[in-house]
Amino acid sequence: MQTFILRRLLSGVVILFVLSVTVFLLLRIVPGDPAIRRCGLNCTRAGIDAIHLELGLDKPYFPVEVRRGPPFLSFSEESQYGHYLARVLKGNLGTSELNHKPVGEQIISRLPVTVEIMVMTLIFTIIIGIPFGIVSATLRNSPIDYLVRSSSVLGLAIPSFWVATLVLVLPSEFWGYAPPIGRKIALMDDPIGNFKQVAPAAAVLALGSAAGIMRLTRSSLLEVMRQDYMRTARAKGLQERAVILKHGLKNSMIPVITVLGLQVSGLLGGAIIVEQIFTLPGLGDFTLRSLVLKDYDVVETMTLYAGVTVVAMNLLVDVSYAWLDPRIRYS
Amino acid sequence: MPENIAVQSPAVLADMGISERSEGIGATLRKLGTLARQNPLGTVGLIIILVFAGAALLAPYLAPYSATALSGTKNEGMSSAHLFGTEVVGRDIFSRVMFGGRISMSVAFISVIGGASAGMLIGIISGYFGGAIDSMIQRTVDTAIAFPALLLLLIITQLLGPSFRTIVFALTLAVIPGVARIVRGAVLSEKNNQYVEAARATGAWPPRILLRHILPNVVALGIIVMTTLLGGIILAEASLAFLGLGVPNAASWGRDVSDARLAFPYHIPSAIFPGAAITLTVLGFNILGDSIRDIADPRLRGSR
Repeated sequence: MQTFILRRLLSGVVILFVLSVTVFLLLRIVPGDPAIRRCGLNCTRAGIDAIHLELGLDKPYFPVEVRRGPPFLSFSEESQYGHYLARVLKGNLGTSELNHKPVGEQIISRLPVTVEIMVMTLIFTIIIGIPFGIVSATLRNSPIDYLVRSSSVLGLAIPSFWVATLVLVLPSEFWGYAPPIGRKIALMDDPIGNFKQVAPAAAVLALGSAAGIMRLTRSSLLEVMRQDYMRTARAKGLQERAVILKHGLKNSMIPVITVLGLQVSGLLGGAIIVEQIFTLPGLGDFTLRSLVLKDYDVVETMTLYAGVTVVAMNLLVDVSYAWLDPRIRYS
Repeated sequence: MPENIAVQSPAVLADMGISERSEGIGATLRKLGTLARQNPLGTVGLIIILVFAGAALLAPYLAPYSATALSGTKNEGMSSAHLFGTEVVGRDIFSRVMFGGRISMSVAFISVIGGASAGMLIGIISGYFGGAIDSMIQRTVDTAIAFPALLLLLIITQLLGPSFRTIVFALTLAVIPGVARIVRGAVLSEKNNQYVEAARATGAWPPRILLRHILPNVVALGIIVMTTLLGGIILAEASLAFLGLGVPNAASWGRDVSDARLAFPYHIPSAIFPGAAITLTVLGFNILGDSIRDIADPRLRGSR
């Protein structure tokens, strides 16, 4: 198990490295010179060159570059990517071009909002998705089953930004109610006010993911219920409840956990949408804003952040397999 | 050998100079009718899609007003002149919903067909050759599937500048990994079949085996995956438009929902109809995809 985790962590580092190179290159091959923006009006050729020198933009992109002519490879000690990597490894994530504050500091101040949304979404998803999925599978072809199935089909088709918009528009039109918008209320200062702010966002995101989990739990449990060991459990006189919950559920959870892991990795995308609509100052809002305003240090960092989440979630999911099904051993 | 003919794929039969007999049009139509009766949900999905696709296609002829020109005062309610009312600057919502489908559907069809073809090719190569190529492709696919798709789409469209072409490009990239993964799995189980062995024994070289023998057997799967992906891609395009990175200067459902959110005072019809159009279209594609999958693989029927 330990070697497995170690190996996965190593491959995670490789994935993050490839991701960072890709994004680094992507952000630099697009037209537009950051020096020209920084230089402002009355810019001279000399001024641009000075900024290039200051930012290290005169250096090659990578320590190893491919040339057209012989000797085809050129090595240089100083390179833009090398500087970037060294800086990031030292914990310096760069400075936002917009407000000249360190990116790391801003991420830490915005992280609680997004983590709160993500945790609450996950809780909603699990408490709605899994129980209804179980009921739907055990009472197959009953009215409840049809209800669960049709609502999951609908839940997967409804765009979350539309539901969020309706959550904003309809109550205000009919009851004159609006969720507290604008300044973020901290969890510790006012738990209820905080809940009123975050819960609508989390509920909207959970609608889609719970629909998927419901469907998956149902189909996975149905598959498991066809297995011989379920018949054995019934034959030895266990109550149906125990058969389903003790023998069936745990065995049917592997695909469900896999998808839950993917959903958590993808929640940054959902956060971008709901944080816009409910004006919550979290990481999603931060990412979209810096992307639209071309604040590329931030975009680079947020991509890495998403990559780290992905690698961590994949590892967690793999480890949970071994717990759910002891037959799965990693060596 | 002759007694084995029944288990050979059409491609092998063709190689051996045997062709299948084709049926008349009447029989095909009767078969389609039975298929529709047996799959009421899928038929409903197909009808929804046909209605929306027809409305989008014929919007320039059928829409009562232009999608971009003002046709009334702002925020009108629903009336016979404006079926769905007018939105924040006074454009007819019904016409905008009709025109909005043009971008959504064309973007979705082009990028799903393009992405699924590329994904099938990658999946076939990965599954058939195995080894280092396979594990390299699969690790990339792993990461691409897990990475937040919306973030990827936003970065690509923003960097290249939002336009019809760049959005199609970004969505095509988003389609590839999922298809590659599924097709690879199918190829793994397909490549050990007798007919592949038979083809190899006759001395066919790999590209021929891949294209003539394996591809036809995974194409059906590819088409099923494509139908199930269309709904998701329409959602993704609408999300991009909602966040302001859609095709510029085109009527778009996603952007209209966003406009309704920013309008003050709120106007209910402008918030409801564009979003309902997205939901119905995606719903149509999803249930059609589900039922096509059920037809193709009856073991899965009712299990999802």
